[in-house]
Amino acid sequence: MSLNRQAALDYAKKFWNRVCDDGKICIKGGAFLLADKRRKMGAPESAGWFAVYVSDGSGGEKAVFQRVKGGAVEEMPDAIAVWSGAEGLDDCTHYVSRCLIAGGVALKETARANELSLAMIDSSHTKTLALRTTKAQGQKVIDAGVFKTGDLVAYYMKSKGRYDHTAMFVGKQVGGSTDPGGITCHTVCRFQGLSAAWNGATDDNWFLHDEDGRSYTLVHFSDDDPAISAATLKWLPGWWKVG
Amino acid sequence: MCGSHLAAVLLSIIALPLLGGAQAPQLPRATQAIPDDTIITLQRGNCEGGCPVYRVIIFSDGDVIWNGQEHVAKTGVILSHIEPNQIRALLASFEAADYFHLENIYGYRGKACPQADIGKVMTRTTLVTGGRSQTMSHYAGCVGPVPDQLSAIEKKIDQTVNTSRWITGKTPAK
Repeated sequence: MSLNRQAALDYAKKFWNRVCDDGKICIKGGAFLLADKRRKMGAPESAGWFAVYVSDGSGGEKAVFQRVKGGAVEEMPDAIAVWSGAEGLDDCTHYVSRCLIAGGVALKETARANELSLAMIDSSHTKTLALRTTKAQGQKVIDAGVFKTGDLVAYYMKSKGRYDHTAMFVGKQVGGSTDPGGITCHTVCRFQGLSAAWNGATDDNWFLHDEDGRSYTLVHFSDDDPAISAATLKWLPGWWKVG
Repeated sequence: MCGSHLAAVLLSIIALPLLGGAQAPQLPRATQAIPDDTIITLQRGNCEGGCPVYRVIIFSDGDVIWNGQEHVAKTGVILSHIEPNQIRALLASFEAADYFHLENIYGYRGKACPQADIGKVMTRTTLVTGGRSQTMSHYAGCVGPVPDQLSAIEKKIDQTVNTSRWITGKTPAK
């Protein structure tokens, strides 16, 4: 079944800065269930409390309960989950999994970036357009127009020897010739064009920030690609150097 | 630049006593005793994707405490040691940055970093010596000459103590 890109994007627009629809907040080594936290923290949904991810004021993020009361946003002083510590937030891949599932992709839901990345690279429904490439190489692939909304961006870190973050490509939400293409992700929550107003994040382009040892893998869901003639298909498979 | 800086330091040493002006205590030179109250700390925070979270404390007698918390090979507390000349070299790097006179404005959304991107490492250093103390927060999204100096100090502490052996769990080849 091909990825329903619009469904994935609609889900992302609704949950990019909120706890996912399954009521789960993934943390290092596990997950919190929102229902449990509602009970423990006295934040029932019936009283208008909803769970969102906000800046913690120190460059990180926390999950909190908020509600609108008397026209103003009220926030509980205690956080549901915080940035650091043994139970620090780690919801990026869980969120991307939920986006793809909303788009109809059959996958084993996981919170591990490496697991999701490798599974999608190996999937028969995808083509890996860039495998651990530089930002410049990845940008060439994106500018070629093949990489589409709903496709997966996986971030590899050489020092860890694995993928440590995932995001979903949302196309060029800002627009204009200088828009390199953006992403949506959790931990830290981003949606290109919306992040700055929410938590001040301005690095919601697909490549995030520069780091030593960082490389990018672009995984394209290909079931909805136009058909290729048999003659052309004979010489396409394999790896091509871009640029 | 080094030559002109040295000239300025010598001038201040000669001129200020004559002028009767107050001078900040100099950090110990190569042969001077390290003040007993000297403590140097380095704390590294988390980042998007997971960065090593740890603390290092260096005492005047060379004792070092490592407290590894997350994304490190060695969690918990380890006691180690460095030599006096290594402490003096660290103090020299603080002095080169004029650490005690820096404003603590390089944290996340600090006065010097109003547009810092989210999700990067927050590092804190503290220097206590000769009755003075200063703590600096340095957010990795903050750029400029002072953040660069702070990065250099932080890196020098890491190198002097050899934190990479506890971060990676690997002992570097000699």
